[in-house]
Amino acid sequence: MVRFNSGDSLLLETLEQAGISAPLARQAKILNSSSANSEDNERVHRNTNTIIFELLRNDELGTCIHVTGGARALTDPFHRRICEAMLGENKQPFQVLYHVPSDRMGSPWDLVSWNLEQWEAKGLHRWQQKLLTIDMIGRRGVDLKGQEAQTGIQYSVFGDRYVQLQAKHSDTALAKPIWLLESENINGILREQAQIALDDATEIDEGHFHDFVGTLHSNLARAFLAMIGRTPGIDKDGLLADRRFYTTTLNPEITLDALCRMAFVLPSEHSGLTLTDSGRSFFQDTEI
Amino acid sequence: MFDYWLKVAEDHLDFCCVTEPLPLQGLSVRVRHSRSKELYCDAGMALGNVLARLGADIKSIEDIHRALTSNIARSSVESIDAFVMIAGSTGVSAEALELSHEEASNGRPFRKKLHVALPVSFAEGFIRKRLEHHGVSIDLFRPEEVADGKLCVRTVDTLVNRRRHEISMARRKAEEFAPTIGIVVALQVEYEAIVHLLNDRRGQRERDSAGTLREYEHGTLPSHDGRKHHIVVTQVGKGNNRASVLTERMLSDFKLDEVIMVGVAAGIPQLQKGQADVRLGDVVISNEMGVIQTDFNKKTSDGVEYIYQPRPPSQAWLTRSTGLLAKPEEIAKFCTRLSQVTTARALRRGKRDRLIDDPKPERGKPLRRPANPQRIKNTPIVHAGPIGSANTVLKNAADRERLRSDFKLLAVEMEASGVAEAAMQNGTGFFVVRGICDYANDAKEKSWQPYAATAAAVFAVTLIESMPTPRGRHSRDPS
Repeated sequence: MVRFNSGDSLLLETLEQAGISAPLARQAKILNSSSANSEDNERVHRNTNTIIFELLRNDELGTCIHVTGGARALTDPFHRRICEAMLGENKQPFQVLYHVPSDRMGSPWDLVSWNLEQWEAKGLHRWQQKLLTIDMIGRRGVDLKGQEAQTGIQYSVFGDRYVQLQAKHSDTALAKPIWLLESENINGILREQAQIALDDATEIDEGHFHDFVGTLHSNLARAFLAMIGRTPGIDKDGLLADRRFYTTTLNPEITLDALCRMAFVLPSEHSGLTLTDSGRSFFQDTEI
Repeated sequence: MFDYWLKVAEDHLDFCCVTEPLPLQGLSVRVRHSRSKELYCDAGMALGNVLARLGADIKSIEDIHRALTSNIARSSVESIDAFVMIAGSTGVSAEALELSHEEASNGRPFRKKLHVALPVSFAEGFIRKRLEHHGVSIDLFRPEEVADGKLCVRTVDTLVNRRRHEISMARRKAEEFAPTIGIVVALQVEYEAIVHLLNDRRGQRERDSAGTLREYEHGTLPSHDGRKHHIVVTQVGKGNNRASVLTERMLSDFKLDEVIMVGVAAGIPQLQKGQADVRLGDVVISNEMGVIQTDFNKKTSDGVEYIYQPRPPSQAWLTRSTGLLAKPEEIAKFCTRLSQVTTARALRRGKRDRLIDDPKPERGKPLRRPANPQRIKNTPIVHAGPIGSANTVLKNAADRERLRSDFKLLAVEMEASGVAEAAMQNGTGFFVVRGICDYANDAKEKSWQPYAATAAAVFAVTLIESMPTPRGRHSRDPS
């Protein structure tokens, strides 16, 4: 644990951008820090998760808020487990304020696939991890709020005294300078700012995420995957002409759409529908 | 109706490639139907039979009001996985609404377990709106959909979908963090020493039934091949019996590659040249002799005959630990880390390390021990040798010396034999790491326990981190 010193100019600059004055910034204890390096970033995230876990154990979580760009923190399996533990213990979940373009807030599946695209761009490729994250959100392990504006400085506050702060970075950056700080004052100021932004943000219904995972696990999805697997290149209209797909729903296309958005099925105007490796793996892994 | 409904349900499942003949096996379901019309009665009866044929365990609760208001009967309601209701009358509709507000004792709402079929004429009614508001699964059916079996197919479909969703996500989670190394500790001081060194910690506390509790701490440690070892820690309390039972339970809960006992022990000190210089704060790990259960014996008029079973530790861990002990840089890494951890946790070594074997320690004089030129002040030495285990707290220098003479032990403790027994019975490797906190004599006290527990934990972690993950386990890494 170190105190702020004159060498931490980027931290000072970042805190100032976040609205924290220099004298107040200098009072912070720096518990951990990382350069713009993925491995280093992981170390700070690990430290952050450990502190959140200890706070949960001691019932000292306080107000927990992530102000983030693409809500990538939710894909961290260890952070996800903490969110689930908070849910299991009936604690107030992390509120997550993140950027969602207004044209992606319209339909439920658009919203889910916006998240999937953001995570994929940041290196989350395995369907299992995507599904676990969507499922955690769907069970309301976090409280999502969307905002049209891009987030300036991204940070998390928790335990009423801790702050994880990230230096300004581009949307596509895979790593960035991060600091884990302890300061009741800075936590208080950022928490208040976040609360104002959360009040202005759009409430996102996490139930859409639950429905999405449920749809992927449906018998109908299984029937689509099996049929597309047997007849690669089948065109969508031809597939949907089979009346058996309508036994349990009037609109089976919704399920097919979910499979495409999850990249279990690859749609192509020229070559029809194809089962992807992920789709095949999902089909095999979800036999009861 | 039943035969026809079963056929259409099976045809649908077949079309959806549900190959399991009993897709609802293990699911307990309560089917409730209105009695206001014969149609609902027939549908309710047929549905219960179809679900049973597909593997569901059909539960009957006549008076749900009584069951919900009585603490004893309530558990029978909570144990039900799905409530299927054909609600064509006020009574069943009200019951559905009531259940949509109820919560199980673990805080989970019943509404997620409900599936309510309502006649399509209820579409704009209060009941439908409120059930929908509470997020209850609703199926609006037309009378002809009872006859053609669509009501049945949709209900079966809903239950199978839910079940697949739950099983699939549970499977994903289990694969994601499946631990491969189990660490067993006996005392709280040992538990704290090891869990503080883990990354990505999370707790697991579950009760399968009244009277049982499963409590584990999960975490990771980096592995030599740049991956992660997934670790689970359990605290078993004192003695070989508890150690054996709770290790066995851990082995049945997780598919572990090995189990490591980490904690404190009494050391067998050096009294003369040629003996190992075991001192307080040192670490003793099992060698190829493994763990010897010193109280497993036959007493006859001729004396005591030892009948313990040989319990060699895991060859892989034995080889790696031998390699580690042979490399000064790896030992130096352990000592540096121990120093960092004890500083960070403000832990001190215990009272002065004096060997007083007198039965009245307060009057006894410390014994002189042969000088050891290898020993650096305040720095532990790691020894490998046989470790004795018994259900007896040893606090007698004469008995300790007898054990030294009989078994050439370097340390004695009370749990490793139980851990080894459980591991060997499951075909799993085991290893023992013990920090020395006393000399098993009348002067035995606890001031060295925190340091010794930390020394053992830091050595165990150093050893684990120097070990690569088995190739067959690589797919379990979530990254």
